[in-house]
Amino acid sequence: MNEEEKNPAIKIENVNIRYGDNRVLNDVSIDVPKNSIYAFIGPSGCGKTTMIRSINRMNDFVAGFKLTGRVLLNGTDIYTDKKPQVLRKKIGMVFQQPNPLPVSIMQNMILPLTEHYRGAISHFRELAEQKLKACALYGEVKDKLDKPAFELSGGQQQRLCIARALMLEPSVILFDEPCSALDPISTHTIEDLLIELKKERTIIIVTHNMEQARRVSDYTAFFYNGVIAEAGQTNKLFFTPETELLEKYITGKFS
Amino acid sequence: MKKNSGKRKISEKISETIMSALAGIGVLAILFIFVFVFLRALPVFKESGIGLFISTGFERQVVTAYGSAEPLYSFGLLGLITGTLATTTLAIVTASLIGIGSAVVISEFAPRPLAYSLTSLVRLLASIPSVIFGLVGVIIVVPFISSLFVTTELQLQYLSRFQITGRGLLASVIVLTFMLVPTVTALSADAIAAVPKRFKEAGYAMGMTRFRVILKIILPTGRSGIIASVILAAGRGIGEAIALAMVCGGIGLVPDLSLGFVTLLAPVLPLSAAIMVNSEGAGSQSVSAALFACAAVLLLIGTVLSITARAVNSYMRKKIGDAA
Repeated sequence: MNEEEKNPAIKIENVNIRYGDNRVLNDVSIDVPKNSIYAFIGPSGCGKTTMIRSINRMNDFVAGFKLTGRVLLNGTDIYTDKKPQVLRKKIGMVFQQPNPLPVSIMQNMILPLTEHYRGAISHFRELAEQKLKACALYGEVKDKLDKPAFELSGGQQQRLCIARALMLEPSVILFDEPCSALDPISTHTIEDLLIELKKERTIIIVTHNMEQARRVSDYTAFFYNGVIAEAGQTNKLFFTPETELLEKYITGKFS
Repeated sequence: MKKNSGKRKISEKISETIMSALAGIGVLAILFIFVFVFLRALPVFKESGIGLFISTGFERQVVTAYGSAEPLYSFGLLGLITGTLATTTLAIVTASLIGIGSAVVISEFAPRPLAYSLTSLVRLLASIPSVIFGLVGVIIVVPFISSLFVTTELQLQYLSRFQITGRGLLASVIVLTFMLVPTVTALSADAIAAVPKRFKEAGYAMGMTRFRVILKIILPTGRSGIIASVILAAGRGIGEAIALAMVCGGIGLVPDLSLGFVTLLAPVLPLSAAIMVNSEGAGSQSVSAALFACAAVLLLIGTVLSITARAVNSYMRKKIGDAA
């Protein structure tokens, strides 16, 4: 175990999740090391999206949601705080469907800052341009920053959403199937971006794309029927799967 | 195969023709109404000129015109126009605040079964005949106002200008507000419920509280539907005759803001109520023309309202892009 694995950015400890009487996740424990990309894979309905949405407490809105166990961000239990919005500033999220708001590109970018900080708009705009550059989007949009964000292509919208998530400088970013609505080229651009981002941040990604998990992630957890069937370093998991289940799943022989 | 598609083409053509014909009839009917109303009002427009819009005294002029042997076409509608604008504007402001607030509660806070029954209830309220609102106004609102604000000293103080009875601007605004709230609520609730979940999630994910998400994301995104609900309610407010006729006091005074709060107790007479109140005199040629002039001005206000609404909406759309 190296130094980074000893102090995980996110530590999920014996988490059980229920929606009413419906048990969705059973005894899930995962350590997500700092500056790594952790992929959650598994068939639909296995609980991986529920798990990722519990890390920034987006499930708090769901009626009947109940979590036992602990989710720790840098050692602090995130479910003890009464105000989930404070947590969500520290843990960014990018969704399956690109979700820029129906305002201009620049307004999308500076909204997180104007919402939480006081400061000169010109300064906010500068920061926004930096983040757009970091997401390799600035060159494509620099002449239309004040045009509606909806005029961008799907892939550009998703990169805008990533750039927007970066505005609050989160230490962890959650990606819930960020490429499932995108074409292969946009997907590759975003994968490159993910690898770039992990230099300074910790990333958790839910994906249905086995190749994507193999290409970008350092660690992988294979969810099946609400439990983790197998988890560990991606290389090991994909090349020498321990369970027959996972082997079938990654080779596509799953029924 | 070919024959079949040929047949389909013909039937499509026929239904297309029928639909355009029906649409054409609709447009013609509206045009006809405009032309008819303006033609019947023409003598008044000619005779009164600009005075129609800047002078007052309509009730007196109607009585004179009715009793006169010669047709008299000189009328002043200023009091009625300001009456319509004052009642509708104030009622729309209060009804929008209450209605949009209720819509937010229904669509965002209420649990689903409750939200469903509340929506049905609000729709039911929106369809209550206006005469019932007028009745409630006469039986409850007017006595309430007069017991709360009207004293003999106050009545004596203003006796030379108007009678304070409890019927007036305030009563009209309250009754009209009650009438418009269900319209605003029902349509705004639909608009708010139609805001895509992913926009709200974007807000929560950047650390917004529920209140901020409503303020910064839900209301701006649903604004075109919300504005439409307010416009529709304004249209209903401008055209409301019976309920207002019952509580407005029946005198077309221009609201005098220098009176402060007493302005709200002064009687008013909106255009639509004036048409209703004086319709018994429509047998007289000149009174009938005067009423048609009122109708023409109402149509004008309605048209201006609708054009402004469209302009505002398309401006906003251009400026910040189409939602959803």
